[in-house]
Amino acid sequence: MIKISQTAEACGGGIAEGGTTTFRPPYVPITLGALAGPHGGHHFLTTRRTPMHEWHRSAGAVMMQSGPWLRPQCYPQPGESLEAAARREARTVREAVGLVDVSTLGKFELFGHDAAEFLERIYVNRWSSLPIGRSRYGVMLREDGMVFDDGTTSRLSDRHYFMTTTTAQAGLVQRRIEHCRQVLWPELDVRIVNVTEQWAAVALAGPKSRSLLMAVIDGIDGSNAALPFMACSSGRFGPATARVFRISFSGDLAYEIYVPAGHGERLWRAFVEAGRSFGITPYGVDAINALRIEKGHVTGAELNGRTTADDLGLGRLLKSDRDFIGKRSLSRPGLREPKRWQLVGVAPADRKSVLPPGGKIVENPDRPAPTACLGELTSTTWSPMLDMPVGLALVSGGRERHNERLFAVSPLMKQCVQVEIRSPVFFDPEGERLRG
Amino acid sequence: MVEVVEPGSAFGALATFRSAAKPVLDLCEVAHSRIVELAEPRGGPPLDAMLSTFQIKRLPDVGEIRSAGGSFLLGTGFGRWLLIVEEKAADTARRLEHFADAFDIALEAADAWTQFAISGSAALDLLAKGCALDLHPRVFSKDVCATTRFAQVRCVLFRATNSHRLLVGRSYAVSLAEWLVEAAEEFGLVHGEQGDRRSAVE
Repeated sequence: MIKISQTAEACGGGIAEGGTTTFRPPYVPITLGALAGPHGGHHFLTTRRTPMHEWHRSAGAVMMQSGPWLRPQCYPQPGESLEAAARREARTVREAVGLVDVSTLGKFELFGHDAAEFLERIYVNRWSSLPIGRSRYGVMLREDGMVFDDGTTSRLSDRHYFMTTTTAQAGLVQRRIEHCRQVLWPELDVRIVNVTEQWAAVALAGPKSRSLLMAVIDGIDGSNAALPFMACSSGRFGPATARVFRISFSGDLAYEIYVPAGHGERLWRAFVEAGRSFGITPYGVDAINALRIEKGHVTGAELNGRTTADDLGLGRLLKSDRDFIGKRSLSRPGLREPKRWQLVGVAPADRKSVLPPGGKIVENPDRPAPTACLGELTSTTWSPMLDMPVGLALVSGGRERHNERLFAVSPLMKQCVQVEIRSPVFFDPEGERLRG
Repeated sequence: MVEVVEPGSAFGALATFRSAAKPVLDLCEVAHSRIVELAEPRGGPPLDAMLSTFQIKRLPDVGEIRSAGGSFLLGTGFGRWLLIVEEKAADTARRLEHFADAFDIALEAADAWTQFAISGSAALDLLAKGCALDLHPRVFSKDVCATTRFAQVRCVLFRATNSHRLLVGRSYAVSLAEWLVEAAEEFGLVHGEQGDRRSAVE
């Protein structure tokens, strides 16, 4: 009404002459609060909690929002800073064993004669050759060729696969794969069930994780021969089945153990109890970040909607003889440009200066503006193994720049650090710890 | 084959809320139900036995529900069903496995869902605050179920004998309980039979 009145006045007449628009509620101005209704305050965004949430709280975890989820950031001991806690947790994983709640990962079960064919079409890499009892890392692209999501998929039986996605993209992945199944390829015999809520998941990581796994899960032979890297099996935890996957985000010897969510907290407690003699620690998101950056593993910071698989050093996964979503876009000249920003590792030249998060990579910080931006830091942390700051960055033609010295600058934080460009894999480049 | 394992509560203990001043509203968690997600019916004797149990000639369509004793069969999506078995008879596990045999895909889902029962004269008023469905018994009868957004969360809603049932993904259960308790404040809802349950929803 106010706008109609103002319009009429501006036209030099009244509302009767100017007419009105079709009336739709609200007929009179109302407050935004009335529109929001009860969806305000802590109900603005519905919070999701993992089955182990109460344990985390009782252990003094500092919780953080991760999308809708509440996740432990770290578990500081009395008098310990958050940074020190994350460093202690990450170091314990590398030296002994740690456990982390990964129940937030998206989880899907795929059934049907054409489940492998379906995977071939949605992932860049090959699935038809995956044997039963094995897992494989997979990368999905968007239609424009940019990386959409990554995760592992395991073959549980001839026509039954178990897929995990990132926490952040789980909902979008479900929408994507159901669209593919129902609209694009209805002829494929494949059924997908979202089982994210059904399974609680714990990752055990560190050189002592094998002994701890075998102490808690019945019927599991954790030896390298029986359960090698990227293999999966199942055992028993009390009355429940425990699915065990030998996969690793930390870059260390590691296992992911899935049990029905109602048994999640009991499983967690059992690992903590049995792990005392191994020097176990729970670890949170900050330590996960430190460990995965050391290993050069990418997350949402690098899967930022502007990177291709090749940019991230995953080009070797692309199959050449089969079509998959996003493949045709990869032939665009812009996506084959050698100067594209590519994933690299970054370390301060003096081995001690803290890297500015989000810092821009330049050749010469003293050059008057405009200075060409060669890239940016995507992830930074303190490496528990190298005992110095390290980071991951996307740098123009980065793979050709290893050992080159550039600068990471942050005008906002007034920081300028000389950095050395390196391989993104700082820790265990041969993968001996993974396969050990 | 469905593995029948006693499912747990998302609250560690059962959550129970009851209106104190007037008995207008009961809100409690229905834990320990057996829930199975079903797809791809096989046909044959197992399916015939299941249909016979529910006294029906065909599986319910999307949005339809059939019940028999303490069991509910909900059509939750095209070619998808949710089987909820609440009775604690000695042969429940065997019967559940028998039902599951009627389908190519039968996934244990009891731990995936948290189920609330909402009853009392104010139940419909409370539910109306959370969703846009017409819940008048003439429209939302005992033969109807809905997969809908309730308080911004995907839920499954249906009517049991004496209560409305609201199923929500386990990870949302505490948030939804908070929402329900706050929304029910005007009906004088208090926390718990077993003392202060507030800690469970904070």
